[in-house]
Amino acid sequence: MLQTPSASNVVGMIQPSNQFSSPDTGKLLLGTDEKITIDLVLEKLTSVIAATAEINGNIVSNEGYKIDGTLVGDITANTILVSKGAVVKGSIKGKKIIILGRVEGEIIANGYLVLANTAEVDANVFYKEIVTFRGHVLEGKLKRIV
Amino acid sequence: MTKLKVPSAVDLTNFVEEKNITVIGVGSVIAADLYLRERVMIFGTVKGNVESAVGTSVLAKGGKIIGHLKGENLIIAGEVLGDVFSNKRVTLLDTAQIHGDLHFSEIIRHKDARVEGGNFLRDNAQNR
Repeated sequence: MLQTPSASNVVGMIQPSNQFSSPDTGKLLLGTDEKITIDLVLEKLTSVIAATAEINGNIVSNEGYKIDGTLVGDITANTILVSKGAVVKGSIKGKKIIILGRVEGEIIANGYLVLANTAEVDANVFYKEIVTFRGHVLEGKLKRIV
Repeated sequence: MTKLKVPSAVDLTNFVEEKNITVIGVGSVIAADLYLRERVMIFGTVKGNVESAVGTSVLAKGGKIIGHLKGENLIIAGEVLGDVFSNKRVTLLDTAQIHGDLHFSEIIRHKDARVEGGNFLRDNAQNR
C-alpha cells in the first residue's frame, strides 16, 4: 500500500488542485486505485509500533510515528501514520495525520489529515486541511480549525 | 573487545522496513508498558516496563527505560532505571547505565558500563 518516497507526490496530492477540489470536473481522480506515497525519511517516521504489538498508554513525540499495531491511549506527534490493519482507541493529535486503519476517539490535525480508502474513523475530527479517498468510512463530527 | 555497532537514528529507515519490529524513536516519550512478541529498539524514553519475547532488543545511547527490561538478547547502550532480565545474552556498551539488578546467562560487558545493582547468573540456582 505504502510505496517508498517521492516526497513531491505527497505534497502534490495535499495541495488542493482544481482537479480534485472542483466538483464540476465530473470525476474523482483520487479513486481507490490511487496510492498514497509517504517518504519515511522526510516525515521523520522514526518510531514504529509493530503489527503484533498492543500498547496501553500514552505517547508523546516530536517526530513521526507509524502505528501498525494496536494503541489504546492518546498519541501526540508531529506526523502520525496509522497503517492498514492498525487500531487506535484514543485521541490522535499531530500536524500531519494519515489514516489507513481504524481510529476510535478523536483526531486533531493541526496541519493536514489524509483519510485513505481503507480508513475507518469513528471519531470527532478537527482539521485544517483534509484529503479523503473514496471508500473511507467516517462517523463523527468534522470541524475545521481556524 | 570487538566493536559493536548500534545503529544511529539515521539508519532507522532500514529498520522501519523490517516487519514486526517496534521502534521508539529519538524524541519520543511513551508512558506505557510494552509487552511485545518481537524485538524492540529504543532511542527515546519509555516510562514503563519493556518485555520482548524473542530477538535481539536494543536500547540505544540516549535511550531510557524507567521500568524493567526483559528480553532474549539485549544490547544496552542507554539507561535503565530498573532491573534487566535476559534469557540469553546481555551486551553492555560503554555508555550503558543500569540502576538495578542484572540477570543474564551470558554477558559481554564494556569496562565503562555501569551496573549499580547485583549481577546474577541465571543458570546459578542460588542467585536466581
